[in-house]
Amino acid sequence: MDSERIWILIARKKAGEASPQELAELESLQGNTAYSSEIMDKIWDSPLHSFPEMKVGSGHWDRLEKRLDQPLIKKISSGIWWAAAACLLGIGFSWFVWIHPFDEKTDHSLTSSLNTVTTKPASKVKQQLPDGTQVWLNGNSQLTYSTADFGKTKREVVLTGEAFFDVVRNEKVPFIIHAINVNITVKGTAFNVKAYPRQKNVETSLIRGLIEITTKQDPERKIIVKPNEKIIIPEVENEKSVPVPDNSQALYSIARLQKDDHQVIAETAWMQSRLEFDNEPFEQIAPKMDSWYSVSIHFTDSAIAARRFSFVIEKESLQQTLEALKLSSPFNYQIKGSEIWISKK
Amino acid sequence: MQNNLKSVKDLKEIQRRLAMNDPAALRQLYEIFSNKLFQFAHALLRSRELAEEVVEDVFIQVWKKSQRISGLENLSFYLYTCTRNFCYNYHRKYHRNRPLNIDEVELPYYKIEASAEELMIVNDLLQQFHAALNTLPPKCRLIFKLVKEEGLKYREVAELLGISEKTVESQMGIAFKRISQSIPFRINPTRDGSRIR
Repeated sequence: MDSERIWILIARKKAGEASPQELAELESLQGNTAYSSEIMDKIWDSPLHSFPEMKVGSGHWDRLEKRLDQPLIKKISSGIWWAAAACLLGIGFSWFVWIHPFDEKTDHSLTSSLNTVTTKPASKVKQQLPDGTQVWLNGNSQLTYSTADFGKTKREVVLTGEAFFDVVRNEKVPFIIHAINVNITVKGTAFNVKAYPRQKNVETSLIRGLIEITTKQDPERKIIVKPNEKIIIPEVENEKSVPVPDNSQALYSIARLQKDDHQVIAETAWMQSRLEFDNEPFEQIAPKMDSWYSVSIHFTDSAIAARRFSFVIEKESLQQTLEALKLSSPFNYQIKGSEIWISKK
Repeated sequence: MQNNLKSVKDLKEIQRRLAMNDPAALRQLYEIFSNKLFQFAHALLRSRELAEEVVEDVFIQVWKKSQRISGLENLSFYLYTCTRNFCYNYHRKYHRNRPLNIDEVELPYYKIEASAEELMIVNDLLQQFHAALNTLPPKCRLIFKLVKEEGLKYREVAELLGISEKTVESQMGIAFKRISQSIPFRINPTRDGSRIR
């Protein structure tokens, strides 16, 4: 008991918190065990440094200074203006406009001189945009952007399908992605967007940086996505459907991205040129195949989900891969659109 | 005790100039506090981006309320409190269901500036000290840092972190015990030669 008390008193003394009574108490407790606190004194007087060094980023003051001159609208420069204005999900009206760029309601700058990159199923393309931003476009996807003023006053792209973006930082010109029913606005960051029209959700996985998404029916609610998080926003097929009630809770969900033993994140596995599995259970393989082939694999039998496989996918189609897996360990599969059901033989 | 904290007099001078809307004073305050507040915000929010935003918010607030701030006794505590509040706001906004937990703060690895030679101990001992410091529970380490480095009072740390002063006291005791025991004290030749456990 006393041995704890003495440390509390020593700490109080060093922190300048000790009362005269406490100092006296400390004296008496130390009694005949006089010790030199010389080292502790030096330690106390020596500043602490952190590793890694924790400092604000280089442009931080400039950003702050800019905000000083602005009217008192909270966070105008950093948080909200670039923050994602994702019009969301649930009520997917605006997406309809965006994926039909020639619709009259479309922003004019997008229709002026459009450049469109399209990929066939199971092919991938890497594209550099005029501002230096790198885009990896997955199979069966389309990316459209205006070449005329891209990077000058606007950086906007329209995406259907799946792409990974590594956006060049530019505070002045926010980068905006229109993906089905979601708009994502960013400063500089790397993330994956999966927005295939037939799938039920728009998924955005953030690797680094920060993006903020708002929904059209609830623009006050800002959804922030942090590194290693995935936000899943359900797509509502019928834009004329019942308005979502104000207190709707399940408009979106956030999940953490998981790395497997090989440091591969399932959501971005498709960017690699090959997929390797080394004695992994089927249920862990499935998310990466989902991402690779843009499908979703479901198991109706947990024993099959637990089976382990080792194989490599390079150019093989989904059917070829499933057939090969069947040979090593029998099961049945059914393909319904982009949904794959795997069941017992 | 407040090693790298500017003297109270300097801060008072900055406060006075802030009240006259001197932007150079804000910059000076920023130089002194931006990284400290950033580290604190980062510990609470575990996000570089959010922590940077919080620090921006704090200085914007200081600038807007410079009149009010000029009369403050303890500007340092005010800045930390402000940072804490903005962190809580962000956290509430983005993690509705998860309260901010002081036990789960995320801290970097700390090292002291003094070398083994300066402390007159061998390198191994310095490493033992660093190991002891950095294996303290995060809450304990944060309290130690705030008291030692920022010169905050126990009462202030308690208020800042929403814990009792007793907790601050006992955590400081734990920190001192563990750190001290990592470096054997030089025992003065005493009658019975016993040492503090």
